[in-house]
Amino acid sequence: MPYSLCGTSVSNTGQQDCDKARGVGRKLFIFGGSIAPSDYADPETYLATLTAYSKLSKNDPNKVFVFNEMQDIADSSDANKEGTLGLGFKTVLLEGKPGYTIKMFAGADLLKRYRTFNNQTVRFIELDANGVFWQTKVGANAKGFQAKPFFTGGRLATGQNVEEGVATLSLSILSNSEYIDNAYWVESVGNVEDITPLIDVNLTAISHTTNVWKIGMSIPGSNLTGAYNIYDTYGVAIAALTFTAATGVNFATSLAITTVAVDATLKALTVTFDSTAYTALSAGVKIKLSGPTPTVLDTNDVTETELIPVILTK
Amino acid sequence: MAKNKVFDGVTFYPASVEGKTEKEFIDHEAHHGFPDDAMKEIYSRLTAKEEAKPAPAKPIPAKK
Repeated sequence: MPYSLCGTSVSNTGQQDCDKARGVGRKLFIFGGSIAPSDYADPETYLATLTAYSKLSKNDPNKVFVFNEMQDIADSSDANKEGTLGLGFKTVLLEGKPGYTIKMFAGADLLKRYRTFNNQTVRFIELDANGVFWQTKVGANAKGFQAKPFFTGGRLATGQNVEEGVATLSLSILSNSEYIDNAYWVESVGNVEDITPLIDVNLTAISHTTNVWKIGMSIPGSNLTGAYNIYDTYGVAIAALTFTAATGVNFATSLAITTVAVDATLKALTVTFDSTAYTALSAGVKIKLSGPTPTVLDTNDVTETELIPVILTK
Repeated sequence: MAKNKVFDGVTFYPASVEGKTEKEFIDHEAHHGFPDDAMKEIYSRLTAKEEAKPAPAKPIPAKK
């Protein structure tokens, strides 16, 4: 037919050589933030941005959470809904949403951490086995695809398959528009393993004598006999960095710290608040003690660590 | 801006000496177990003013 409106609604169908396609899945990064054009201007800058974002506090909107490498992947996308007409015509009525069932290694502690993401609506960036990152765009900024993850695992192994320490992720993707029609890629140049997960290390109140507090640093976990104390690994390095303390509404009023020291006997820190300021506080006042940020820790060779603040009660 | 200084595993913050006499500093931080003469030395180092940096050299005007 010589008369067509197609030109306003379809694309020409040529293809460049080496047109990218998603390869085998390798890694997922949960990322709810956005990457500005200047930060994805070239692959090196993009990788540096993701690396820096992985070292942010989990409270930061640009935080990148890293999942372990995929060991098995199955396409569990919903099937397209199809319709037929009585004389044999068959067509797709509704496209199914993408989804995957992914296996990765995770022990009991890590599985508990992964399961905190269950049924949360998150955004994620993919890295495939060709070293290509996949994401979508909102406006000019790169963002992850929306999805709901659900982790299972932690059951007894049966001895029939590789099951011990294997967590299963069911990943349900929310939007074909984002995932297919508006997917964008960046090649990786450099070491993608620089994008690292952090581990929560809780600051804990052990005891205190007036304004001098003993503060522990431990990784919460499944070991019933006690949390993992990081003192021997990083106690001295962390004590040499800057802690802050605050009180009042939304902890907006700073409280001066005069010293932070290591206590080799307790394998903890000794934090001393300015006695005049501390004495002026009413009994029962809450004090938020915060350690250095993960970025500062990383710069000072305390790697893959986020110190979680502790609330002290005077 | 004053910086933290570490002595024998103890990190002293600027607030440890700000507005405090030497005696007040020694009393406040006595629980760290330093002898008095060490505390006096630490106080002295914490309160020492940073040496002023020399002003940058002015560029020599080009010949006419």
